[in-house]
Amino acid sequence: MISVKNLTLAFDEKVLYEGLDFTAKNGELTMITGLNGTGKTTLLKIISGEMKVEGAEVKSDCQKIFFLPQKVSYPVGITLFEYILSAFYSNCFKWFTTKSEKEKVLKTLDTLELLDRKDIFVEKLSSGELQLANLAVALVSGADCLLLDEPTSNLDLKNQVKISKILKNLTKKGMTCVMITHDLNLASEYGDYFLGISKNIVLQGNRGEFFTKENLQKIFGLTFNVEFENEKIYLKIFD
Amino acid sequence: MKKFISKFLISIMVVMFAVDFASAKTFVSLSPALTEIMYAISADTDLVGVSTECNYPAAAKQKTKVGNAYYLNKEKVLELHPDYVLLADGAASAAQKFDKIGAKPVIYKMNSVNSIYDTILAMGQLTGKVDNSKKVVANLKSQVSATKTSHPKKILYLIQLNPLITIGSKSFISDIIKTSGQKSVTADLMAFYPAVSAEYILKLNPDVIVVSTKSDNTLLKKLFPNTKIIYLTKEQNDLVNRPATRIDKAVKFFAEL
Amino acid sequence: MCKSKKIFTIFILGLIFLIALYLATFAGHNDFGLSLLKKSFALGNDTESILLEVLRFPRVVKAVIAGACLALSGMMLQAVSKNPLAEPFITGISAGAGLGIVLSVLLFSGFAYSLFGFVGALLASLFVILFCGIGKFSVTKLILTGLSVNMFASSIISFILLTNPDRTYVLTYLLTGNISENTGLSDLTLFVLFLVILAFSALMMPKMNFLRLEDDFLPELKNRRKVYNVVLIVLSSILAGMSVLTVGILSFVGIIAPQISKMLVGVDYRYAFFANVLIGAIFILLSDFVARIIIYPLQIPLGLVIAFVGAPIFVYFLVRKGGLLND
Repeated sequence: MISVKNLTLAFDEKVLYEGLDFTAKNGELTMITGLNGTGKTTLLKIISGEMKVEGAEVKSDCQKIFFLPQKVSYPVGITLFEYILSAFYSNCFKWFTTKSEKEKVLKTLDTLELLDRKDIFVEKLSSGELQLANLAVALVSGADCLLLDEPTSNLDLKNQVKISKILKNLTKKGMTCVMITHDLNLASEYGDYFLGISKNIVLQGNRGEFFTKENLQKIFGLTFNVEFENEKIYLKIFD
Repeated sequence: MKKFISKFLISIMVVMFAVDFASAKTFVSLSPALTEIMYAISADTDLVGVSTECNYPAAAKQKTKVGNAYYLNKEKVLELHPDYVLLADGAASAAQKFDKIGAKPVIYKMNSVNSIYDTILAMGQLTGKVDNSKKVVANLKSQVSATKTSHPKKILYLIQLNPLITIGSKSFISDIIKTSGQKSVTADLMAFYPAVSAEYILKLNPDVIVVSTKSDNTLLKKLFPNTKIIYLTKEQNDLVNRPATRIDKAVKFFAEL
Repeated sequence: MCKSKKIFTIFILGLIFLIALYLATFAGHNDFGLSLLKKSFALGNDTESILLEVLRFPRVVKAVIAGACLALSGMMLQAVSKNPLAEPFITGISAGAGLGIVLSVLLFSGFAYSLFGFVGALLASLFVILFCGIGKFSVTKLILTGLSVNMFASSIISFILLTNPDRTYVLTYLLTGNISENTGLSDLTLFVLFLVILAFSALMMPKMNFLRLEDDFLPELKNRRKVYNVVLIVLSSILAGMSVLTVGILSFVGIIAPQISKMLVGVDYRYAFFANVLIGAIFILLSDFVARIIIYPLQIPLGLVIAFVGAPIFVYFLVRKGGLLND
């Protein structure tokens, strides 16, 4: 669980947040959505503790936070397996990885259905596979909190769903997970808690509270048709 | 009164003649060797500018400096307005710098003892001091022929130690050593001042090593623990490295090694 | 690429290294050096013994040190800056070294010019690294500052070259890069120093494997990563300084060796470490062998041979499939 209390942040005259309180709970997949340039990535960085804001209180009971930025640079000339194994070389005197560490990598690759790609060079992987590889790094590094900045933005529909499902499963196992997305359909299908950020307001709530015509109008300035049916939400832009 | 007027007129004529002569031929020398020759043939009064390296004879230091062949103060040369600029052939590429200044570059070749004599005579012609130049050359020739060693030694002449730079067949120093009766061990290298490997000089087995510019000599001492090594002083350096009117002394220096 | 293939590659490199070592030590411009090889077991006072003891052995030691240091230094900087064109002298090394050498030639007529170059190199890179600051360290800042320092210093060097025509030849020769005949340190000291730095570098290899991962991944480690980056840059500067001490300012090896190693063993730095040490040493040993025999007895600066051989290789790596331009 990570909570942010009384967050006020302004750059010059542009106020991003004013007294924001927000909690990302364990076991819930938190989705952040909103317009460009409203400080979604900044919020993730504040949650991760990388950015400190005066007056705001950030509390976390997570052991290890993993942050996936929008842009990731990949090394050239190593296989997927070696890429993920990199996470274990953090000690100067440890020239070799142990057998159990290698098995852990293989197991993680197996759960992410990437085992057959383990000997492919990183630069030859598709962007969907690369995103999964990054998740694998997060898993083997023992992170219990994932902060993901648009993990699905460049992916095809199938991979978007795949990643979202995996994240959903991880949260069910007790992981704290916050991701930024622009896809409301995806968010409404897999998210548990939602944060909508617009120029000067932040709206939040669970699925039922968040996805209302009024909220979406306030955040995006667009008219939506919102329908509930068997706990599912159907969104349509109604312009 | 009459006497006075005639004296006055003569003196005016003399002055005018002198001024006229001077304005007809003035020189800037960009080579210390050529400056030395100018002084030796008593043409120094026509020398209006010298390079920063010209230090012999002492009077040369008082002349106006115009930089050197590589780093020339063109404005200064323009100001002095010489008729001729004297260059050694090593700096021949500087000749084009005078294209628009109006000074005529004259390049002299000095890569052997004989070509030094030729240069002195040619400069005598140019400056109108033909007799002087002939006298200087004759004197040099007699001095040089008088000094010749009868016990030739193998001499290794090194200009620099780091890197190792020696003299090749094209250098006038090789000819001076030859004239002195000694043998330069690097005389068969077809170059002016070649950089050679330490392995090569080790195999030459010289009797005497003459080092022009002394610097870190650790390696040389290790290579030749039992060979006589002579380090030239500043004055000796100027003497040996300058293809000018003191070659008789340079020849004598090598002959007496 | 599987592990055994990488180990085999390094084994082959080791063999080539031994051949290069033999050629550089014993072979001459017209013999294969068998007599010298025999001689090396019974050194005496004759010319051949002096040749081996005073010239060849120290030369080979320095060639190996320089090659290994340049290659490792280049590898580290390329990894830290994530730029395949980064070279060891990027942190102002060549500028400082050049100024040091020029100073030594001007003021002390070339006395211990290698040591001057070494000190100059370390001072310049220290200045650049401190200027960039450790807390707010960024690679871009480092490269740009290093570039400015290099340009500033080379303008001073050019000025000195122009205003001292009598020293131009010597300075140009020394600045081109050549195996130093006298470093001011004994060869044993030099070798021990090299081993110590090599050991330190070896300790950084697992870390470099870890640093292959994106910087932002683990926010709690972000500050530590910056420290590692600085450590790596300082280490690479010291390595480059060692190369200045032994061979002066040599370009290309520091760019090319890491590229070849990347092609042969990939970017697992535990293997790349050995590959780079061997490739760098082979490159300089062979270049020095060529420089020694090609126009014997004249000596061409090692830097010329390396640039002459290195430039085509470099272009090959630029245009080849999967090469630098396709990264």
